[in-house]
Amino acid sequence: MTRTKSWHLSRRTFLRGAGVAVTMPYLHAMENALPAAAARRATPENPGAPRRLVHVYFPNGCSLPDEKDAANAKWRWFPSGQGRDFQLTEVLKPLEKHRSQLSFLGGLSHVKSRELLGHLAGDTWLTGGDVRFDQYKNTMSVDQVAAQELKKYTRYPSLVLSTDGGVGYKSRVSTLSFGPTGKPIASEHRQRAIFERYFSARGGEQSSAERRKSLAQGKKIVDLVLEDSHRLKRQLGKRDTEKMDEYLTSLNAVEEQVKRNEAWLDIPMKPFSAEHLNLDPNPRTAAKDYLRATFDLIVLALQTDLTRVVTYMMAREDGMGFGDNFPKIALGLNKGHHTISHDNVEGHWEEWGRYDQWFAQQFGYFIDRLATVEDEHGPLLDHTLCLYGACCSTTHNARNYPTALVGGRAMGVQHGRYERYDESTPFSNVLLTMLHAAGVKKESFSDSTGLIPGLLKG
Amino acid sequence: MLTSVTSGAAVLVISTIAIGRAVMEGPPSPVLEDTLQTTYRETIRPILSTYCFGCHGPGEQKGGVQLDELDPDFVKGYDAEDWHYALDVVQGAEMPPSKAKQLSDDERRALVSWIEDGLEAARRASTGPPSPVMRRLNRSQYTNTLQDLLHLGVNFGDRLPGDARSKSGFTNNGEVLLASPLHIEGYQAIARAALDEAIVTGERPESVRYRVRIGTGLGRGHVGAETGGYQSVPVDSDHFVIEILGADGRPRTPKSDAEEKAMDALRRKISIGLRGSAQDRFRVTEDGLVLYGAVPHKEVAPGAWQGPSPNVKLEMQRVFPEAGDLAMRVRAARGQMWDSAKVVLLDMPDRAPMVELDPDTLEIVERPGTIVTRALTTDQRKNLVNEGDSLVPIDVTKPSHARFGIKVPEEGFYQIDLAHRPVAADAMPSIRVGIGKLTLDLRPTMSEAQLQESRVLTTVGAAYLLKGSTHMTLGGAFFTGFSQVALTPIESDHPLVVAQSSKREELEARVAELLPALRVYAGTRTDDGMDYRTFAEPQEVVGDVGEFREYTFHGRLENLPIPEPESGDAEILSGFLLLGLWNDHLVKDRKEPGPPLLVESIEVEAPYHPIWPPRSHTDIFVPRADAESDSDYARRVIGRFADRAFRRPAEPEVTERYVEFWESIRADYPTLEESVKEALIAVLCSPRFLFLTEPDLAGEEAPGGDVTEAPRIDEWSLASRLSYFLWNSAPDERLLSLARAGELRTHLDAEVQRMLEDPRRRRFLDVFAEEWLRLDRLEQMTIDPHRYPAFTRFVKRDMREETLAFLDRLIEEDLPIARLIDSDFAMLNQNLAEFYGIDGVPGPHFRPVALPPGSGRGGLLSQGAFLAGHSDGVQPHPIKRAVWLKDRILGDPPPPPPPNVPSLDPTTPGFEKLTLKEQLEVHRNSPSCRDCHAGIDPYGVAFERYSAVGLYEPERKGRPVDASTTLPDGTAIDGLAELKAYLLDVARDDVALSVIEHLYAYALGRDVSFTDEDDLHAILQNVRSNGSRIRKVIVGIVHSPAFHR
Repeated sequence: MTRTKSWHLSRRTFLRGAGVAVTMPYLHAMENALPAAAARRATPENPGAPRRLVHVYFPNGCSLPDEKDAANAKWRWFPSGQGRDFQLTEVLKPLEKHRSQLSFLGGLSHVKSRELLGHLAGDTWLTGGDVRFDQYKNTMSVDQVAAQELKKYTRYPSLVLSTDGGVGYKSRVSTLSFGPTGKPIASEHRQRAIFERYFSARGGEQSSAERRKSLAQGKKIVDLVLEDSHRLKRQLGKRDTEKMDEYLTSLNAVEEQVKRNEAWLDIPMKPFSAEHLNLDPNPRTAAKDYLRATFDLIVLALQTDLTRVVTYMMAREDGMGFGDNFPKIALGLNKGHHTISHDNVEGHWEEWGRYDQWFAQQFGYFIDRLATVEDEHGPLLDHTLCLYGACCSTTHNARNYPTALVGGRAMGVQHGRYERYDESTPFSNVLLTMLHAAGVKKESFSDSTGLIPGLLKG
Repeated sequence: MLTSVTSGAAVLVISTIAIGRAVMEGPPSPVLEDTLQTTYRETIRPILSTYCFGCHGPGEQKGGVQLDELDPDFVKGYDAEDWHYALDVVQGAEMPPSKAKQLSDDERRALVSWIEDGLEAARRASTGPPSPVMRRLNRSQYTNTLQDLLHLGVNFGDRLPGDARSKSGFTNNGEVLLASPLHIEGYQAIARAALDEAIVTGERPESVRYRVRIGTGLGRGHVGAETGGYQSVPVDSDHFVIEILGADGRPRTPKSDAEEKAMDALRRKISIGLRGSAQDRFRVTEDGLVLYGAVPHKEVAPGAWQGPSPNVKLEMQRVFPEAGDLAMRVRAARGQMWDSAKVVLLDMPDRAPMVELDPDTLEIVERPGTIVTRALTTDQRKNLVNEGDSLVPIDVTKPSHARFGIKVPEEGFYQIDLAHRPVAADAMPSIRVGIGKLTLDLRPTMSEAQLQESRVLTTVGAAYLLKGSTHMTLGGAFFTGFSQVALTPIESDHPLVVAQSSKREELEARVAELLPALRVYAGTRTDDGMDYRTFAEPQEVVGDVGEFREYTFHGRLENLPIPEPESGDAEILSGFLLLGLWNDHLVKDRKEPGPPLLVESIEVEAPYHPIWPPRSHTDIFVPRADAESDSDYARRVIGRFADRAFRRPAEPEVTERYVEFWESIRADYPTLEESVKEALIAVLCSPRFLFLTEPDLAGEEAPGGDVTEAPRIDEWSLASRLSYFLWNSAPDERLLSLARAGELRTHLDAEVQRMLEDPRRRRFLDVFAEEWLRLDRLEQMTIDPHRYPAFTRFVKRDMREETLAFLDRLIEEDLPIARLIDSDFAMLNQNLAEFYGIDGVPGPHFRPVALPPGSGRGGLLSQGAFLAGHSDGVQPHPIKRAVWLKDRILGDPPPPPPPNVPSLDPTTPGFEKLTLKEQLEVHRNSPSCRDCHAGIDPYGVAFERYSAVGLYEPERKGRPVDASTTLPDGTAIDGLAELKAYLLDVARDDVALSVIEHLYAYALGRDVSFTDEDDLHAILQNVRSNGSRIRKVIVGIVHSPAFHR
């Protein structure tokens, strides 16, 4: 027989089967989580200072006047200069005071979305999925990948927020988050409902009761299956017991997770003050208050360690939803955001730049709050890495995403630079780097080719 | 320590264990080992000493590598992995460094083959006796098993993580099938959702049941919607009527004004559209909607993914169910062509403008016959403002509109060219042209050069215009604006004009013998197209012209890309479920009408429940005996379900534990069904369901753990092995009852034949063929759509189906193995036959087609699935094809290339002008690659006359294609026919053995090991003496000792 090369082949075969290996870090992390139970806080198995990820999105691209255009110097989104010597334009001035906790990345985009109209690329900002052809193949978003691992430390895996709520529809979503099979996760948008569901004593109890019931159902079944598995194991030949052990290990891991989730429900919420919250802002009259009310809820969620993963879509692509009217409400312009993004009358760059600046003011408010509010580890901002950006540059060009990273000093993020990349660096590399900063050390995410060099210590 | 180089920690552990044990137990091969030692002393060490020890010896250890101390004993020593590394760097020409003295060819060859032999010896020693490992159900097995158990056609496994491939390429291998926590969470969630669906309460739920009838004027006085948006082609609501049907299938008559209002509100959410379809390919008539044969869509991004043209769909906005079976009923007949004299509007992809701009005035140069209109002479303007001699939008995101009159001198086709300022792609420039109610949308792309101009010309499309005066409009959202528009008569030899002027009778005669067919789909409207999937098999429309019949199609909503449930999204074009169809007599050329299809009505019913309660429910909750207590009944239901789920009788104490569980939670649930459901969910998470557990036959295990004669598996296990082999699912009632009676072994042959006759064999063949022949590579292949415009997604789909149908035919007819290499028939349908250039195969269904000699088809090796799957999308790829042939067909996988293998060297002068075969020769001439590739490339070169999409191509780059080569054994061949002859003669046994080995690995769910060689050869002998029939292979495997241990 000539077929004798399998010793060689094993290398490749197992590489191809990398899907197998994916589960291992998870298992590993589960086990590692246990000994760290003696954390600084009375929370279940917290291995130390939290690592958090927040993703904030604005639609329709950004102001990027041509270099020959007079408005370029003042109203372009990206800074001028490069490396450490960058200068912010008017647009991002609201972030100037956080300069040492801030990085800009230029020239990036998702490879599979480059040919798409910018609005459609918005479906893939956090996924890098393939929605080019008539089978819409979106994939799990990066926040949910992070949440899968970080959920063991918190009450809820993630918060998925937006200005419009729901999922929208394929090609024009109203959420940034997608589950394991690429299905969109409905976003929440009503501040009062969010507060009551997650923070108020009454609402909290109600949702706790539901959650407790579903956890209890799951736990009972896992217990029974564990017992049956042990019985089966005794009946099996030796050759199968290894396989059975593997299955039992996974069952145990799931049971541990359920126990942790249950334990959370018995721990009272950390005390917090809700006096500053505005739970009924009217988006039709007070756009600024509307966005800031949601940012305040995010700060509260991080402060109380309700979750460590948040996505927030501040407005929807293509003139849809409330958000399109914010320029009229907030700046008194006579056009919606989408119209501004297509405009070419005299002075249109300044209008767009001013609106980008307005977004930056609201995001800047959020960063100010994170820098001010502390938990026992210090300012929240030191333990929170925020991604701020969009999925196209000028109007519908799904390349050169405006991208800023803010915060996370204590997570090993090294800031203070503006770097530009060519198209050999996929945007997924940023998302993978964020995962690593959060301690979720996957080998790859989507079509990533590696980490963004120099962004993380070590 | 021997370990393989891998990236996964888990993998390292497994191979270490396997090898560690094997070193003790493996079959020794002292002769080989002695030779290796001698060769080392006499040949290898001197070579190493000359070229390597200088830097990697006792004096210096560059890079921490010291070769003189490596143990030359690959089996007992611990340095095999380091030798493997050395092999890689020598083969990769990394060492010796280029400045240093180089090995001669003979020396290098000696070193390479010594290390390879050593690794081989190590591998041999590491292979213990085969020990089958308990297999988890993989994704497709899990799905099939759950579908059969619950009688629900949902693709349950979709949400589970993917399964890894084994060394031989299969995903049913117990060794690599791990069960992660993600799996466990998935199993629980799927079991709960599946049982929620299977177990019902109360009366039959009311179904959504709408019927839309189409015909000129039918809808006058009735309510119906028209859905707009980019590229929309709505059917006028005057021409269709929406009937809301009751459970009896009759239109509901409103009993009150309020009910009537409610029904009309519903009707306002339903429309009929042909979005993206060309307007010369369909027509509303009094009898219904006529659809010509569909033209497949082009695979070019950014595209408008609207499906083939034409296709018609029911558009239902937020008024449809989200789960359950679906019945779609279409009343249709063979149709007739219409007379042509009617205004139409068409896109004209890839056409250049027919007029020019004067470089000075930037105005269109008038030419005879051309009708030019200036923007400033238009009337009825909306959202437009003057800018010089142009009109431009005021708010570009809002729709613009300008109307102008024209006088048409002669009836006929006119091309529409527009002069306008250039607009970059990121501003999404668009043009909408309209005549009457017809509109046409275009998103033009302007080149870099055009963007530098101050004015450009864009061809918007063509219109068929009647003689006399008419009005046209220009505008739309994101309108480019314009200065002039020109209408120019299209040249008389253009296919459109030719088709138009051919007599209707002539066209009808061409299609008189052909039948239209219905292909149905469901999907979601997206902004620039749709996300859709077809379901059910296509059906040919038979009977006389105009003789309507009803055609029914069944699907499952959960398996189709229907819209996500929305919370509060109220966008005007969101939340649309599309349910559509096209005339599946696909045509390649727009001037061909194909046989017309006439559609009278389309009906949807969902969820579709022909019986209530459904079988999914009654098969779990069997009839309850009079006076049977809750506990007794629950015990009976749970026990019965466990028996079926575990594929063997559950032991009483096991069932009892599940019943106890039910007792402990029953008070928490309002109904018996709901509490029992919890116990059933647990059953579906038990390893007894999820794994093919094969308890050893009691008492047969020899004392002291002696495993030389492994115990036989029981008949229940045998039933499962058979059914997961031949049906990829659980055993049916007959197999189980034979096992119950202990008679399965004695009826083995009859059962195998019965199972192979059963249509469920396709579940086995589809998965086996996919993994054996690597059909996934076809799926992932992106073929250059500009070079191969005829290679549509439907050709790709049918290539896959060709291979599956071919294997199915081999099994059905029990043909000889040799047919795999060459056959006098091919399995084809019209679409694929036309692509291959074979005539006379009408219709969408696959059937055996006799091949004339010299057709270049026949056997697996000339099928598109293999050939296109092993190209680079532009050119054929001889190396991929050769590796596939050696690995999959000859059972002799070549070793993988060393790491950092240099690619083809484009710095060679004139390289880009060479054919790939010549490029390979350059590659082979580099010494580090030559030896290996000499054993691979010739097999691939033989396929050179088959293009990247598997078409016969005797010339390429303007030169005849050279497919002559010399195989490693010295046989000179030219082209595929001679390669086939070689495989059928010299390599006959290798081919047969490869087929046997792949089937054997699949059947057992494990890789083949050395110790299987005797069994495999025994099967080969037996098969050969029985005419080498394919079923004999399967019978042989089922009778082999390994299948019973």
